[in-house]
Amino acid sequence: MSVAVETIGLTKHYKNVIALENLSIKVNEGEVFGLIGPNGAGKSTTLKILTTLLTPTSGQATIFGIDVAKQPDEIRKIISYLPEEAGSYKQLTGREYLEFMAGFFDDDPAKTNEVVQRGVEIAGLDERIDDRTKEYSKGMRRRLLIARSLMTVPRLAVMDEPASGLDVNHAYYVRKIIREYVENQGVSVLLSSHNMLEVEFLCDRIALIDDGIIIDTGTPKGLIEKYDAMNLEEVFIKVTRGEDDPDLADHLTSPTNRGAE
Amino acid sequence: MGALFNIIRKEVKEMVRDPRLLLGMIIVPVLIFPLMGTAMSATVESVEQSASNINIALINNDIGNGSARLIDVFLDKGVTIHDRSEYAPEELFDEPDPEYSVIVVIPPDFSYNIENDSSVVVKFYTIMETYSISEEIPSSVLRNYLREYIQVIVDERLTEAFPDQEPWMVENPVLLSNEAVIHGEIVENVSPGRISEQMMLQSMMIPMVMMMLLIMAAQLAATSVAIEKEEKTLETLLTMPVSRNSILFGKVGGVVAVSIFAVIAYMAGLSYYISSMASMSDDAGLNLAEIGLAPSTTGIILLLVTLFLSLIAALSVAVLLGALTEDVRSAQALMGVLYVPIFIPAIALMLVDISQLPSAIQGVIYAIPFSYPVLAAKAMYTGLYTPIFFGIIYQVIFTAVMILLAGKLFSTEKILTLKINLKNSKGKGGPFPLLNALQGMKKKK
Repeated sequence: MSVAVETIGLTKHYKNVIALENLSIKVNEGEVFGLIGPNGAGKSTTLKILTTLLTPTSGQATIFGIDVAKQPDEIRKIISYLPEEAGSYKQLTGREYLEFMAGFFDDDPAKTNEVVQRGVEIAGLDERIDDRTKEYSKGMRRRLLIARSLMTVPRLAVMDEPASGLDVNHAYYVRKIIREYVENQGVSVLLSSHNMLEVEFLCDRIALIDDGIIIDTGTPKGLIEKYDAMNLEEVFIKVTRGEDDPDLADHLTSPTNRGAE
Repeated sequence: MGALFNIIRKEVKEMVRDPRLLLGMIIVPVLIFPLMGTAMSATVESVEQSASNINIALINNDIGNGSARLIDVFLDKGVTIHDRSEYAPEELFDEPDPEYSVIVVIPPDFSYNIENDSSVVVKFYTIMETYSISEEIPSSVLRNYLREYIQVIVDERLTEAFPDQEPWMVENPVLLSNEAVIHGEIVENVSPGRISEQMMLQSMMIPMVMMMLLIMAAQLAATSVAIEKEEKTLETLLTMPVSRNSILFGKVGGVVAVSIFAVIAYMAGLSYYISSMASMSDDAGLNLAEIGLAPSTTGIILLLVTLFLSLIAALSVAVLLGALTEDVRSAQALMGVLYVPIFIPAIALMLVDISQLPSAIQGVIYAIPFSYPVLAAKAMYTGLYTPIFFGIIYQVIFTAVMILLAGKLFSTEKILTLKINLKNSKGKGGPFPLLNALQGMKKKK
């Protein structure tokens, strides 16, 4: 199994603010890897460095062996990125949006059409795909953006909060599609999320990150066992707040509360 | 090239489909000139109607031949006379009749004074209610009719006093022939004043079109970049396998495509407006080309080149400024920085030649890249091309520097992290947009 993403000592400073400190992770090809941490932990910074939007202050990041900082043009050919609050071009229809994005990957109209058709199927918006995206609900827009990020079958899909703010139906659809693409097309996925249900459902492995530092890495099941927790949410609380807040840790681990859960 | 056209196509689609952009930046500015022209034509028609349909109340206190001849002149000219000789003027002021707006009072000794080579006062009272030009027109026209009558009386008196002379010779001991010389040729029967008026009308067109075009295009470009940030589409676009320069040039190219369409519409609208204005003037028939003032082909080419380079320069600056801002409102406020150098040459050179300005202002105008279309518009007639050639070189250098700066910004993470937010700055770009911008500059964490 080859390595999809590898970071070694990745660090990002903004003047006096440390956004990321000495981050080292390894994502295997064909797996879904989750970065889990509180707001401001450095998850989005990591994803933006890997997608060539930001340059690291120090350290190295490679995707399928290609150096992100040295060969950004090559990286952009094999990845897709779904930002947390991404928008679509409101005056374009869903189909035109997909055509516009697909147009960057191939000059051959037949191949572009094939990609767009795949995008239309992933989005699952039926005839609404030909409406302007300004008329879409948040859920519909997110489905369109998920379709955009998967339609080219990238080697690595980087997703920041893929189902953020979606209702149960749309969130379920989005997670199902991502899982299908990993299993059927061999796409590797690196995502960040606050939603522990989503993480447990989607991720093969996760890294817990806080204040720009990796605290622990493992499978969701392995981490739950390691921290003697009921679920990932509890692991998350213990890891990110437990040491600073013994009362909370005791509260979470007391037999009464565990029984109540 | 495929990626570049992909972006241009998307930009054009977005611009022509966005009702705010389409209405505010294209349709309204394009319609404004025809609307102004139509309003001007309506005014002219209204004035002409006022002049051709004059009704007066006449209080004639004279019974002699002199007043009868004046009344005949008025009647010959089609003036409708309502005889109110039995009233005093003040009685008519109190109860104005809508049938007339001017009261003409002829005094009792009118004929006596006329016949005895003396002078006499005829009074016109114009009843003003709306204070508009059309209210004043009847008395102005009547004054001309009275002058014709006076001329007849003067000629009679001169003939009597100087029976061997033509009256006009007695009146005009010196006559003036004031003719313009253009390219060494005398232009017969055309005064220098008429030519300069006509030239001004034409030379105003270029600066006006240039100002509106550059402002509209710059707004479109800055908005197009800022909207990518505001709508959170820029991050996605920057991770596509497309060069950052293609994104930059695609945006500029999209605005250029829309601007070319808009400038054609502007020119059509402005021509209509100017022809409406010219129709009010006696000089409408003056054809500059016929008197040797046709624009040269070299001049036209230089004008188009300088106009195109100004457009690209303005768009480069606009994209740069738009990329520095956080949202559309901040981008549009920051555009105030660009308006000053666009307005200065257009307004300064609209009425005077650059050589007539103080050296310091000349220096400022030559330093502004947007001055050269205005200078080229004049050079089309004067043939003074040398400053324009240097100007084109300067414009190319300026534009290249701006594109390089914009390209540099697009190729680094600063496109995402450097942000100017004018939303919270006082004045929102008001009198000191640059100062506000600098105050609002912050780094995104």
